[in-house]
Amino acid sequence: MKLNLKMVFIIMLWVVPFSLITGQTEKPARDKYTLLTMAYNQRPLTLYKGQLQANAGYRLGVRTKSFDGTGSKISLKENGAASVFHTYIMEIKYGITDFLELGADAYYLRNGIRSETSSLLSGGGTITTNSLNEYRGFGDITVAAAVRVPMEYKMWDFSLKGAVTLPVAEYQPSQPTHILTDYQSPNNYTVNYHFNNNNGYGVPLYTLSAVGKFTLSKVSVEARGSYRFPAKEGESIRWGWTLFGSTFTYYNNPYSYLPDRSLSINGSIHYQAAGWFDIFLGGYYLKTSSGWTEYFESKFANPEVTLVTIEPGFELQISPSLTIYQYAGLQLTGENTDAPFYVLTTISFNMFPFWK
Amino acid sequence: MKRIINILAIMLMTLIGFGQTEKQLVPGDLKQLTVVTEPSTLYKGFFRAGTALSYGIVDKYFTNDRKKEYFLNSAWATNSGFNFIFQYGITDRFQIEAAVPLSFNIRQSESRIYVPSADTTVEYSFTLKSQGLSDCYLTLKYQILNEKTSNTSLTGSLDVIIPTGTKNPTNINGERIMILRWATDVLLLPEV
Repeated sequence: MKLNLKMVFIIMLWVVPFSLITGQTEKPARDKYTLLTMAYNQRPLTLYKGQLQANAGYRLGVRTKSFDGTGSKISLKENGAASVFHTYIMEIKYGITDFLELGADAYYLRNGIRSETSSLLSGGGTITTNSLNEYRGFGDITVAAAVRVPMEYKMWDFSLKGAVTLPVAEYQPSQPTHILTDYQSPNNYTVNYHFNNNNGYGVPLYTLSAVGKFTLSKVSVEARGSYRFPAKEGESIRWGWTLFGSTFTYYNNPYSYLPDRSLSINGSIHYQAAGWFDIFLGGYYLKTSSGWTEYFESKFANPEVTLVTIEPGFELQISPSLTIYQYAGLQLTGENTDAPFYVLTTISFNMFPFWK
Repeated sequence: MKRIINILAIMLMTLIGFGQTEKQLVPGDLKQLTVVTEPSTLYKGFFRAGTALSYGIVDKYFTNDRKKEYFLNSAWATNSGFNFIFQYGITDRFQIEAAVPLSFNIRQSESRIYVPSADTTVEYSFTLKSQGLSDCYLTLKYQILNEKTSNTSLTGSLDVIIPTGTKNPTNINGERIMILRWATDVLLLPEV
């Protein structure tokens, strides 16, 4: 017993100094510069308390392929319907605490979809038809709140987010602006159909998301699931027209609709190559369901969309306040949807406005 | 008093002399220069190799009224290029640059004509592709006004285009015409 006590005493003499050394580890600095330059693999899922982040993004999308209902790829170039879309994204977020973040985002989208030019050739002449579906304008504003686990981020993190998309943008299509050109006779002219669509949903939408992040040294894995659903049915209009001579007369008819519910799952693996450079490979799965549109006083289900996309990209810190994100989207498989290749570039401005 | 002034004047001249010593730039400093801080030509002996990617889509045009409008006809055109660029500073003011561009361009147009009397549709597809090595070019740049001395530079350049790309169209296929029966697309959706 006496020997055991002596041994315990010797062990204690060894252990206590080590525990003192361990206890002396310095708490990470919490100055503005350190927080603003925090690498992705060391960052929590939400902003730090007092941090303001403003993001401006531009997405160039090239819509040259689509997937039909059986998942077969269709070349829109060969169908004469390829198009390009430009999306300008604005987002602002603020960290209320280290565990609660508020934010809002909106976008402006421009896209013109042409159809194959077709001509009707008869003995009396040729009537050629061009058709352009233009989408232009602001999308709805989304306001969101995100909370994360109330503990310091070391290896893992978990966050929940709720968002409401407010129907503030124009959603009913504007009056078409069809024109006749090359008019030579009632049987010989070109008609150019031009439909003017807006980008709003017309009804509120709710989104619930959950995000998890796990980091092991320079490698991080992030997974996100989101479910979006409409608050109620909406009502919009369809434009019709009649042509007398070379003058179009327009009229519209109301119809009701219900936007799709959508489930999206994102996964990404990140490698922090340097403190200022993170490269990642993301995957994105989208499925929509339950939406419908009224035609001829009957409700018809919207085609259910599935889409799988991979998104390679990087995050580059160019100054304590400015970070650039860029990733490309490549569609692998899908059903009933377009498959646009896109590149999204975002410049992110960060600051602590109330922190001296 | 005069002697003191003379001593001070000599000391001041020495100070000015120190102030005028030029900072010696070592290779490490040169690599730290950015587009903003570096002069308009490379320093002597400095070599730079780079790549540049370009991608453009022809989607709109300017009308005679100076308005930007979508093309009305069904058409699709993209220009993409990948450049390999090599630059070398022969002197601090004189630079030579060589570029090897690869190009991938496409023009595509689709249309169809329905002839009711024959109850047929004729589909036209026109595609013009160009891909491969384009004309390489050699650029000589000289700083006429040297940025080092005046904080402003004026640079003259001379481009020499070397006709390395294929000039005339090849592999011309005949116009593809398909004669099909007219069909109307009907969208069938399940009723809810």
